[in-house]
Amino acid sequence: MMYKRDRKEPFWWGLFSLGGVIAALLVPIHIFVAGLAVPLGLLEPDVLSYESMHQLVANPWIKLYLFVLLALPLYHAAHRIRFTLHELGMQKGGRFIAILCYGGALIGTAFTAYILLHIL
Amino acid sequence: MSQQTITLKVTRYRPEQEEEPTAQAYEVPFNEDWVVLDALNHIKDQMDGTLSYRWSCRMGVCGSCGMMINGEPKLTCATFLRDYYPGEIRVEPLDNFPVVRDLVIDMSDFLEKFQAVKPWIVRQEEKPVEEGEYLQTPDQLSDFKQFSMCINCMLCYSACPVYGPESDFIGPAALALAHRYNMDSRDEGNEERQEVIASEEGIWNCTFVGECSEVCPKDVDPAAAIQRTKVATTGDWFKSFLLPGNKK
Amino acid sequence: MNRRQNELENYKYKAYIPSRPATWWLRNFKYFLFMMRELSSVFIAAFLILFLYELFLLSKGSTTHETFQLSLRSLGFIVFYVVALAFALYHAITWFGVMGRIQIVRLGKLKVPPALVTAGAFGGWIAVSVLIGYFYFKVL
Repeated sequence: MMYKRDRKEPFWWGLFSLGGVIAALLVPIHIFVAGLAVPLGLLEPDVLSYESMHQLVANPWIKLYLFVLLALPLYHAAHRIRFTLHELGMQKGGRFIAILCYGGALIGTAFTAYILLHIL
Repeated sequence: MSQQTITLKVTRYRPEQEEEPTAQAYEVPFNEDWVVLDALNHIKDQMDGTLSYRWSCRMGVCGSCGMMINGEPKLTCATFLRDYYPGEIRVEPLDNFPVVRDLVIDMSDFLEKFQAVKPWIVRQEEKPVEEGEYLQTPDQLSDFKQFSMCINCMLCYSACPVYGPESDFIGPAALALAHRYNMDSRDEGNEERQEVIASEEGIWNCTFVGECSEVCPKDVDPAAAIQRTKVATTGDWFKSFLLPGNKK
Repeated sequence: MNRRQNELENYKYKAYIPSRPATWWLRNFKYFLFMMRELSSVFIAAFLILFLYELFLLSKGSTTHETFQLSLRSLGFIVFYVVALAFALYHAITWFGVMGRIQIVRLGKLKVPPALVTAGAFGGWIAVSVLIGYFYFKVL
Protein backbone atom coordinates (compact mmCIF):
# COMPACT_ATOMS: atom_id res chain seq x y z
CA MET A 1 0.00 0.00 0.00
CA MET A 2 1.39 3.41 -0.97
CA TYR A 3 1.00 5.98 1.77
CA LYS A 4 1.05 9.69 1.11
CA ARG A 5 1.21 12.41 3.75
CA ASP A 6 -2.08 14.33 3.83
CA ARG A 7 -1.54 18.07 3.40
CA LYS A 8 -5.08 19.21 4.25
CA GLU A 9 -5.99 17.31 7.42
CA PRO A 10 -3.63 19.20 9.76
CA PHE A 11 -5.44 22.43 8.93
CA TRP A 12 -8.87 21.09 9.85
CA TRP A 13 -7.54 19.26 12.88
CA GLY A 14 -5.90 22.48 14.04
CA LEU A 15 -9.21 24.33 13.77
CA PHE A 16 -10.99 21.43 15.45
CA SER A 17 -8.50 21.61 18.30
CA LEU A 18 -8.76 25.37 18.72
CA GLY A 19 -12.54 25.20 18.51
CA GLY A 20 -12.51 22.50 21.14
CA VAL A 21 -10.48 24.60 23.55
CA ILE A 22 -12.86 27.56 23.10
CA ALA A 23 -15.88 25.31 23.47
CA ALA A 24 -14.51 23.70 26.63
CA LEU A 25 -13.31 26.94 28.20
CA LEU A 26 -16.10 29.39 27.41
CA VAL A 27 -19.29 27.63 26.37
CA PRO A 28 -20.43 26.11 29.68
CA ILE A 29 -20.47 29.44 31.53
CA HIS A 30 -22.15 31.17 28.58
CA ILE A 31 -24.90 28.55 28.45
CA PHE A 32 -25.47 29.06 32.14
CA VAL A 33 -25.60 32.83 31.92
CA ALA A 34 -27.60 33.02 28.70
CA GLY A 35 -30.20 30.41 29.54
CA LEU A 36 -30.35 29.48 33.20
CA ALA A 37 -29.17 32.37 35.35
CA VAL A 38 -32.33 34.43 34.83
CA PRO A 39 -34.87 31.61 35.34
CA LEU A 40 -32.93 30.60 38.45
CA GLY A 41 -33.29 34.14 39.77
CA LEU A 42 -29.53 34.70 39.95
CA LEU A 43 -29.45 37.39 37.29
CA GLU A 44 -31.67 40.40 36.69
CA PRO A 45 -33.43 40.05 33.31
CA ASP A 46 -32.52 43.60 32.32
CA VAL A 47 -28.83 42.65 32.20
CA LEU A 48 -29.73 40.74 29.03
CA SER A 49 -32.10 43.45 27.81
CA TYR A 50 -32.02 45.16 24.43
CA GLU A 51 -30.39 48.34 25.73
CA SER A 52 -27.79 46.54 27.83
CA MET A 53 -26.79 44.02 25.16
CA HIS A 54 -26.82 46.52 22.31
CA GLN A 55 -24.43 48.75 24.23
CA LEU A 56 -22.18 45.83 25.09
CA VAL A 57 -21.95 44.43 21.56
CA ALA A 58 -21.11 47.84 20.09
CA ASN A 59 -17.65 47.47 21.61
CA PRO A 60 -15.14 46.15 19.02
CA TRP A 61 -13.28 44.02 21.60
CA ILE A 62 -16.58 42.38 22.54
CA LYS A 63 -17.19 41.76 18.84
CA LEU A 64 -13.81 40.05 18.56
CA TYR A 65 -14.51 37.93 21.65
CA LEU A 66 -17.94 36.97 20.30
CA PHE A 67 -16.47 36.08 16.92
CA VAL A 68 -13.98 33.70 18.55
CA LEU A 69 -16.68 32.25 20.80
CA LEU A 70 -19.24 31.74 18.03
CA ALA A 71 -17.15 30.80 15.00
CA LEU A 72 -14.35 28.52 16.18
CA PRO A 73 -16.41 25.82 17.90
CA LEU A 74 -18.29 25.40 14.59
CA TYR A 75 -15.14 23.78 13.17
CA HIS A 76 -14.94 21.57 16.23
CA ALA A 77 -18.51 20.39 15.66
CA ALA A 78 -18.00 20.05 11.89
CA HIS A 79 -14.97 17.81 12.40
CA ARG A 80 -16.70 15.63 14.98
CA ILE A 81 -19.85 15.31 12.89
CA ARG A 82 -17.79 14.41 9.82
CA PHE A 83 -15.95 11.57 11.58
CA THR A 84 -18.99 10.35 13.52
CA LEU A 85 -20.93 9.93 10.26
CA HIS A 86 -17.97 7.92 8.98
CA GLU A 87 -18.06 5.72 12.09
CA LEU A 88 -21.81 5.23 11.87
CA GLY A 89 -21.33 3.47 8.57
CA MET A 90 -21.13 6.27 6.00
CA GLN A 91 -17.73 5.29 4.65
CA LYS A 92 -18.57 6.09 1.05
CA GLY A 93 -18.85 9.74 0.08
CA GLY A 94 -16.33 10.82 2.70
CA ARG A 95 -15.19 13.72 0.57
CA PHE A 96 -18.75 14.93 0.09
CA ILE A 97 -19.46 14.70 3.80
CA ALA A 98 -16.27 16.63 4.58
CA ILE A 99 -17.25 19.41 2.17
CA LEU A 100 -20.72 19.54 3.72
CA CYS A 101 -19.39 19.73 7.27
CA TYR A 102 -16.54 22.20 6.86
CA GLY A 103 -18.62 24.14 4.34
CA GLY A 104 -21.31 24.50 6.97
CA ALA A 105 -18.75 25.80 9.44
CA LEU A 106 -17.43 28.29 6.87
CA ILE A 107 -20.95 29.52 6.15
CA GLY A 108 -21.58 29.87 9.87
CA THR A 109 -18.36 31.86 10.21
CA ALA A 110 -19.42 34.16 7.40
CA PHE A 111 -22.83 34.74 9.02
CA THR A 112 -21.20 35.46 12.37
CA ALA A 113 -18.78 37.98 10.88
CA TYR A 114 -21.57 39.62 8.88
CA ILE A 115 -23.89 39.96 11.86
CA LEU A 116 -21.18 41.25 14.17
CA LEU A 117 -19.66 43.70 11.73
CA HIS A 118 -22.50 44.97 9.57
CA ILE A 119 -25.64 44.61 11.56
CA LEU A 120 -24.59 45.41 15.10
CA MET B 1 -15.65 -32.05 48.13
CA SER B 2 -16.57 -32.29 44.48
CA GLN B 3 -14.71 -30.27 41.87
CA GLN B 4 -16.39 -26.98 41.04
CA THR B 5 -16.83 -26.30 37.36
CA ILE B 6 -17.28 -23.32 35.10
CA THR B 7 -18.67 -23.20 31.57
CA LEU B 8 -16.72 -21.75 28.68
CA LYS B 9 -18.60 -20.87 25.50
CA VAL B 10 -15.89 -21.08 22.88
CA THR B 11 -16.15 -20.00 19.24
CA ARG B 12 -15.58 -22.78 16.76
CA TYR B 13 -15.00 -22.12 13.09
CA ARG B 14 -14.14 -24.99 10.81
CA PRO B 15 -14.22 -23.48 7.32
CA GLU B 16 -14.09 -26.94 5.72
CA GLN B 17 -17.48 -27.76 7.21
CA GLU B 18 -19.29 -24.52 8.05
CA GLU B 19 -19.96 -21.06 6.63
CA GLU B 20 -20.01 -19.18 9.92
CA PRO B 21 -18.56 -19.50 13.40
CA THR B 22 -20.62 -21.27 16.06
CA ALA B 23 -20.31 -21.50 19.84
CA GLN B 24 -19.43 -24.68 21.67
CA ALA B 25 -19.87 -25.06 25.42
CA TYR B 26 -17.26 -26.80 27.53
CA GLU B 27 -17.58 -27.46 31.24
CA VAL B 28 -14.09 -27.20 32.71
CA PRO B 29 -12.82 -27.56 36.28
CA PHE B 30 -12.79 -24.32 38.21
CA ASN B 31 -9.58 -23.58 40.11
CA GLU B 32 -8.87 -20.35 42.02
CA ASP B 33 -5.53 -19.86 40.33
CA TRP B 34 -6.51 -20.82 36.79
CA VAL B 35 -6.55 -18.35 33.94
CA VAL B 36 -8.65 -18.74 30.78
CA LEU B 37 -5.58 -20.12 29.00
CA ASP B 38 -5.38 -22.93 31.57
CA ALA B 39 -9.02 -23.74 30.82
CA LEU B 40 -8.35 -23.75 27.06
CA ASN B 41 -5.31 -25.99 27.52
CA HIS B 42 -7.45 -28.32 29.66
CA ILE B 43 -10.04 -28.46 26.87
CA LYS B 44 -7.36 -29.18 24.26
CA ASP B 45 -5.54 -31.78 26.35
CA GLN B 46 -8.45 -33.58 28.01
CA MET B 47 -11.67 -32.85 26.20
CA ASP B 48 -11.39 -31.76 22.58
CA GLY B 49 -8.10 -31.88 20.76
CA THR B 50 -9.53 -30.20 17.69
CA LEU B 51 -9.70 -26.76 19.31
CA SER B 52 -7.21 -24.33 17.69
CA TYR B 53 -5.79 -21.25 19.40
CA ARG B 54 -2.53 -19.37 19.85
CA TRP B 55 -0.47 -19.09 23.03
CA SER B 56 3.14 -19.18 24.09
CA CYS B 57 4.75 -17.64 27.17
CA ARG B 58 1.64 -17.83 29.39
CA MET B 59 2.95 -14.86 31.36
CA GLY B 60 1.90 -11.78 29.44
CA VAL B 61 5.03 -10.90 27.49
CA CYS B 62 4.70 -12.61 24.11
CA GLY B 63 1.37 -11.19 22.96
CA SER B 64 0.14 -14.45 21.40
CA CYS B 65 -2.95 -15.32 23.42
CA GLY B 66 -5.21 -12.31 22.83
CA MET B 67 -8.93 -13.20 22.57
CA MET B 68 -12.33 -11.68 23.31
CA ILE B 69 -13.44 -12.64 26.83
CA ASN B 70 -17.11 -11.72 27.37
CA GLY B 71 -16.78 -9.16 24.62
CA GLU B 72 -13.56 -7.53 25.87
CA PRO B 73 -10.16 -8.04 24.29
CA LYS B 74 -7.85 -9.65 26.85
CA LEU B 75 -4.79 -11.85 27.16
CA THR B 76 -6.13 -15.26 28.14
CA CYS B 77 -2.99 -15.89 30.20
CA ALA B 78 -3.80 -12.87 32.33
CA THR B 79 -7.55 -13.35 32.73
CA PHE B 80 -8.59 -15.29 35.81
CA LEU B 81 -11.56 -17.65 35.86
CA ARG B 82 -12.36 -16.53 39.40
CA ASP B 83 -13.27 -13.04 38.15
CA TYR B 84 -16.15 -14.56 36.16
CA TYR B 85 -17.11 -17.57 38.32
CA PRO B 86 -19.79 -18.84 38.61
CA GLY B 87 -20.99 -17.12 35.43
CA GLU B 88 -20.26 -18.31 31.92
CA ILE B 89 -17.17 -17.17 30.05
CA ARG B 90 -17.53 -16.39 26.35
CA VAL B 91 -14.24 -16.94 24.49
CA GLU B 92 -14.21 -15.51 20.96
CA PRO B 93 -11.48 -14.72 18.45
CA LEU B 94 -9.98 -11.21 18.53
CA ASP B 95 -12.45 -8.73 17.04
CA ASN B 96 -11.78 -6.83 13.80
CA PHE B 97 -9.65 -9.58 12.26
CA PRO B 98 -10.53 -12.31 9.74
CA VAL B 99 -10.98 -15.64 11.52
CA VAL B 100 -8.88 -18.44 10.08
CA ARG B 101 -10.05 -21.24 12.36
CA ASP B 102 -11.66 -21.37 15.81
CA LEU B 103 -9.84 -18.74 17.88
CA VAL B 104 -7.03 -18.12 15.38
CA ILE B 105 -7.13 -14.83 13.48
CA ASP B 106 -5.29 -13.63 10.40
CA MET B 107 -2.81 -11.00 11.55
CA SER B 108 -1.11 -10.34 8.22
CA ASP B 109 -2.81 -6.95 7.82
CA PHE B 110 -1.39 -5.85 11.16
CA LEU B 111 2.09 -7.08 10.21
CA GLU B 112 1.99 -5.17 6.91
CA LYS B 113 0.95 -1.93 8.58
CA PHE B 114 3.45 -2.50 11.36
CA GLN B 115 6.32 -2.75 8.87
CA ALA B 116 5.07 0.25 6.92
CA VAL B 117 5.88 2.68 9.76
CA LYS B 118 9.56 1.65 9.73
CA PRO B 119 9.79 0.49 13.34
CA TRP B 120 13.58 0.65 13.59
CA ILE B 121 16.26 3.28 14.15
CA VAL B 122 16.64 5.25 10.92
CA ARG B 123 19.94 7.12 10.51
CA GLN B 124 21.00 9.40 7.64
CA GLU B 125 24.44 7.96 8.19
CA GLU B 126 25.26 4.98 10.34
CA LYS B 127 27.69 5.72 13.14
CA PRO B 128 30.83 3.56 12.65
CA VAL B 129 31.54 1.06 15.41
CA GLU B 130 34.86 2.75 16.26
CA GLU B 131 32.97 5.89 17.32
CA GLY B 132 31.36 3.93 20.09
CA GLU B 133 27.77 3.52 21.23
CA TYR B 134 24.96 6.08 21.09
CA LEU B 135 24.72 7.84 24.44
CA GLN B 136 21.30 8.51 25.88
CA THR B 137 20.36 10.14 29.17
CA PRO B 138 17.63 8.68 31.41
CA ASP B 139 15.55 11.74 30.51
CA GLN B 140 15.89 10.99 26.79
CA LEU B 141 14.95 7.37 27.48
CA SER B 142 11.85 8.45 29.36
CA ASP B 143 10.63 10.30 26.26
CA PHE B 144 9.88 7.04 24.49
CA LYS B 145 10.22 4.16 26.96
CA GLN B 146 6.52 3.79 27.64
CA PHE B 147 5.79 3.37 23.92
CA SER B 148 8.48 0.70 23.55
CA MET B 149 6.67 -1.72 25.86
CA CYS B 150 4.31 -2.99 23.15
CA ILE B 151 4.13 -6.78 22.86
CA ASN B 152 2.16 -6.73 19.59
CA CYS B 153 -0.79 -8.52 21.16
CA MET B 154 -3.25 -6.56 18.97
CA LEU B 155 -5.82 -6.10 21.74
CA CYS B 156 -5.79 -2.40 20.79
CA TYR B 157 -6.78 -3.24 17.21
CA SER B 158 -9.74 -5.20 18.53
CA ALA B 159 -10.80 -2.38 20.79
CA CYS B 160 -10.56 0.26 18.07
CA PRO B 161 -13.90 1.00 16.36
CA VAL B 162 -12.13 2.61 13.41
CA TYR B 163 -9.99 -0.41 12.56
CA GLY B 164 -11.57 -3.42 10.88
CA PRO B 165 -11.09 -5.99 8.11
CA GLU B 166 -12.30 -3.46 5.50
CA SER B 167 -10.43 -0.54 7.05
CA ASP B 168 -7.18 0.98 5.81
CA PHE B 169 -6.46 2.49 9.21
CA ILE B 170 -2.88 1.80 10.21
CA GLY B 171 -3.95 1.27 13.80
CA PRO B 172 -2.91 2.03 17.38
CA ALA B 173 0.10 -0.24 17.93
CA ALA B 174 1.81 0.65 14.65
CA LEU B 175 1.27 4.38 15.20
CA ALA B 176 2.43 4.15 18.82
CA LEU B 177 5.57 2.37 17.68
CA ALA B 178 6.21 5.04 15.04
CA HIS B 179 5.98 7.59 17.82
CA ARG B 180 8.39 5.51 19.92
CA TYR B 181 11.02 5.79 17.22
CA ASN B 182 10.28 9.41 16.42
CA MET B 183 10.90 10.27 20.07
CA ASP B 184 14.10 8.23 20.29
CA SER B 185 17.08 10.60 20.35
CA ARG B 186 19.11 8.16 18.26
CA ASP B 187 16.58 8.18 15.43
CA GLU B 188 16.58 10.48 12.39
CA GLY B 189 13.61 8.97 10.56
CA ASN B 190 10.79 11.36 11.52
CA GLU B 191 10.40 12.82 8.02
CA GLU B 192 10.31 9.38 6.39
CA ARG B 193 7.73 8.13 8.84
CA GLN B 194 5.58 11.23 8.38
CA GLU B 195 4.67 10.13 4.84
CA VAL B 196 3.13 7.01 6.33
CA ILE B 197 1.72 8.07 9.68
CA ALA B 198 0.48 11.51 8.59
CA SER B 199 -1.43 9.99 5.71
CA GLU B 200 -5.22 9.69 5.61
CA GLU B 201 -4.89 6.08 6.77
CA GLY B 202 -2.64 7.07 9.64
CA ILE B 203 -3.23 9.43 12.53
CA TRP B 204 -6.03 11.36 10.80
CA ASN B 205 -8.39 8.38 10.87
CA CYS B 206 -8.16 8.22 14.64
CA THR B 207 -11.00 9.89 16.54
CA PHE B 208 -9.50 9.40 20.00
CA VAL B 209 -12.01 6.89 21.27
CA GLY B 210 -9.26 5.86 23.65
CA GLU B 211 -10.30 2.23 24.03
CA CYS B 212 -6.95 1.08 22.67
CA SER B 213 -5.18 2.50 25.71
CA GLU B 214 -7.85 1.10 28.03
CA VAL B 215 -7.25 -2.50 26.93
CA CYS B 216 -3.47 -2.38 26.55
CA PRO B 217 -1.94 -4.89 28.98
CA LYS B 218 1.39 -3.02 28.95
CA ASP B 219 0.15 0.55 29.55
CA VAL B 220 1.60 1.74 26.26
CA ASP B 221 -1.15 4.37 25.81
CA PRO B 222 -1.25 4.34 22.00
CA ALA B 223 -4.04 6.93 22.06
CA ALA B 224 -1.69 9.44 23.67
CA ALA B 225 1.02 8.62 21.13
CA ILE B 226 -1.38 9.30 18.26
CA GLN B 227 -2.72 12.55 19.71
CA ARG B 228 0.82 13.80 20.38
CA THR B 229 1.69 12.98 16.78
CA LYS B 230 -1.35 14.94 15.61
CA VAL B 231 -0.26 17.94 17.68
CA ALA B 232 3.32 17.76 16.37
CA THR B 233 2.24 17.29 12.74
CA THR B 234 -0.30 20.13 12.96
CA GLY B 235 2.24 22.39 14.63
CA ASP B 236 4.75 21.69 11.87
CA TRP B 237 2.10 22.32 9.22
CA PHE B 238 1.17 25.73 10.61
CA LYS B 239 4.83 26.64 11.10
CA SER B 240 5.67 25.77 7.49
CA PHE B 241 2.66 27.78 6.38
CA LEU B 242 3.38 30.85 8.47
CA LEU B 243 7.18 30.75 8.18
CA PRO B 244 7.80 29.98 4.49
CA GLY B 245 11.52 29.51 5.02
CA ASN B 246 10.80 26.42 7.08
CA LYS B 247 10.40 23.63 4.57
CA LYS B 248 8.61 20.62 6.02
CA MET C 1 3.47 -12.12 -6.51
CA ASN C 2 4.40 -11.41 -2.91
CA ARG C 3 4.34 -13.99 -0.15
CA ARG C 4 1.02 -12.94 1.28
CA GLN C 5 -0.77 -13.13 -2.05
CA ASN C 6 0.80 -16.52 -2.61
CA GLU C 7 -0.44 -17.77 0.76
CA LEU C 8 -3.92 -16.44 0.14
CA GLU C 9 -4.06 -18.08 -3.29
CA ASN C 10 -2.96 -21.44 -1.88
CA TYR C 11 -5.02 -21.39 1.31
CA LYS C 12 -8.06 -23.43 0.43
CA TYR C 13 -10.41 -22.29 3.12
CA LYS C 14 -12.30 -19.03 3.46
CA ALA C 15 -11.53 -16.84 6.44
CA TYR C 16 -14.59 -15.50 8.25
CA ILE C 17 -14.76 -11.74 7.94
CA PRO C 18 -16.57 -10.20 10.92
CA SER C 19 -18.76 -7.19 10.25
CA ARG C 20 -19.37 -4.16 12.42
CA PRO C 21 -22.98 -2.96 12.71
CA ALA C 22 -23.75 0.76 12.79
CA THR C 23 -24.90 0.22 16.39
CA TRP C 24 -21.43 -0.87 17.53
CA TRP C 25 -21.32 1.99 20.01
CA LEU C 26 -24.22 0.50 21.98
CA ARG C 27 -22.17 -2.59 22.69
CA ASN C 28 -20.58 -1.32 25.86
CA PHE C 29 -20.75 1.70 28.12
CA LYS C 30 -17.37 3.18 27.16
CA TYR C 31 -18.26 3.24 23.46
CA PHE C 32 -21.57 4.87 24.41
CA LEU C 33 -19.78 7.59 26.39
CA PHE C 34 -17.53 8.19 23.40
CA MET C 35 -20.58 8.74 21.19
CA MET C 36 -22.03 11.12 23.78
CA ARG C 37 -18.79 13.06 23.76
CA GLU C 38 -19.02 13.39 19.99
CA LEU C 39 -22.71 14.36 20.25
CA SER C 40 -21.81 17.14 22.69
CA SER C 41 -20.32 19.12 19.81
CA VAL C 42 -23.76 19.23 18.14
CA PHE C 43 -25.42 20.71 21.24
CA ILE C 44 -22.59 23.20 21.64
CA ALA C 45 -23.02 24.29 18.02
CA ALA C 46 -26.81 24.47 18.48
CA PHE C 47 -26.43 26.75 21.50
CA LEU C 48 -23.99 29.00 19.65
CA ILE C 49 -26.33 29.28 16.67
CA LEU C 50 -29.14 30.21 19.07
CA PHE C 51 -26.85 32.77 20.70
CA LEU C 52 -25.95 34.20 17.29
CA TYR C 53 -29.66 34.47 16.50
CA GLU C 54 -30.19 36.39 19.76
CA LEU C 55 -27.46 38.81 18.70
CA PHE C 56 -28.98 39.08 15.24
CA LEU C 57 -32.30 40.12 16.83
CA LEU C 58 -30.51 43.07 18.42
CA SER C 59 -30.66 44.59 14.94
CA LYS C 60 -34.42 44.07 14.73
CA GLY C 61 -35.41 46.49 17.43
CA SER C 62 -36.25 46.34 21.09
CA THR C 63 -39.69 44.68 20.88
CA THR C 64 -38.58 41.76 18.72
CA HIS C 65 -35.53 41.22 20.88
CA GLU C 66 -37.42 41.35 24.19
CA THR C 67 -40.19 39.06 22.93
CA PHE C 68 -37.64 36.46 21.97
CA GLN C 69 -35.78 36.83 25.28
CA LEU C 70 -39.05 36.12 27.08
CA SER C 71 -39.68 33.01 24.99
CA LEU C 72 -36.25 31.72 26.04
CA ARG C 73 -37.57 31.39 29.56
CA SER C 74 -40.22 28.89 28.52
CA LEU C 75 -39.93 25.28 29.68
CA GLY C 76 -38.91 24.02 26.28
CA PHE C 77 -35.90 26.30 26.08
CA ILE C 78 -34.93 25.73 29.69
CA VAL C 79 -34.84 22.00 29.02
CA PHE C 80 -32.65 22.68 25.99
CA TYR C 81 -30.27 24.83 28.04
CA VAL C 82 -30.02 22.19 30.77
CA VAL C 83 -29.27 19.46 28.23
CA ALA C 84 -26.83 21.70 26.35
CA LEU C 85 -25.07 22.63 29.59
CA ALA C 86 -24.76 18.96 30.56
CA PHE C 87 -23.20 18.14 27.19
CA ALA C 88 -20.94 21.23 27.31
CA LEU C 89 -19.71 20.25 30.77
CA TYR C 90 -19.09 16.70 29.58
CA HIS C 91 -17.11 18.04 26.65
CA ALA C 92 -15.01 20.27 28.92
CA ILE C 93 -14.36 17.51 31.45
CA THR C 94 -13.28 15.01 28.79
CA TRP C 95 -11.24 17.68 26.97
CA PHE C 96 -9.26 18.94 29.95
CA GLY C 97 -9.15 15.45 31.43
CA VAL C 98 -6.72 14.27 28.76
CA MET C 99 -4.47 17.34 28.77
CA GLY C 100 -1.92 15.69 31.04
CA ARG C 101 -1.57 12.67 28.75
CA ILE C 102 -1.15 14.68 25.57
CA GLN C 103 0.61 17.91 26.37
CA ILE C 104 4.07 17.51 27.83
CA VAL C 105 4.94 20.66 29.73
CA ARG C 106 8.53 21.41 30.53
CA LEU C 107 9.79 23.92 33.08
CA GLY C 108 13.41 24.20 32.08
CA LYS C 109 14.71 20.64 32.22
CA LEU C 110 11.91 19.30 34.39
CA LYS C 111 8.84 17.56 33.04
CA VAL C 112 5.69 18.65 34.84
CA PRO C 113 3.83 15.56 36.14
CA PRO C 114 0.74 14.84 33.99
CA ALA C 115 -1.63 15.10 36.95
CA LEU C 116 -0.43 18.66 37.55
CA VAL C 117 -0.91 19.62 33.91
CA THR C 118 -4.47 18.33 34.06
CA ALA C 119 -5.09 20.14 37.34
CA GLY C 120 -3.74 23.32 35.77
CA ALA C 121 -6.07 22.97 32.80
CA PHE C 122 -9.10 22.49 35.04
CA GLY C 123 -7.96 25.36 37.25
CA GLY C 124 -7.69 27.62 34.21
CA TRP C 125 -11.18 26.62 33.11
CA ILE C 126 -12.69 27.41 36.49
CA ALA C 127 -10.84 30.73 36.64
CA VAL C 128 -12.07 31.80 33.19
CA SER C 129 -15.64 30.75 34.01
CA VAL C 130 -15.57 32.69 37.27
CA LEU C 131 -14.22 35.73 35.40
CA ILE C 132 -17.00 35.65 32.82
CA GLY C 133 -19.62 34.99 35.46
CA TYR C 134 -18.32 37.91 37.47
CA PHE C 135 -18.53 40.10 34.37
CA TYR C 136 -22.19 39.22 33.91
CA PHE C 137 -23.26 39.20 37.54
CA LYS C 138 -21.35 42.18 38.88
CA VAL C 139 -20.11 44.38 36.03
CA LEU C 140 -23.12 44.55 33.74
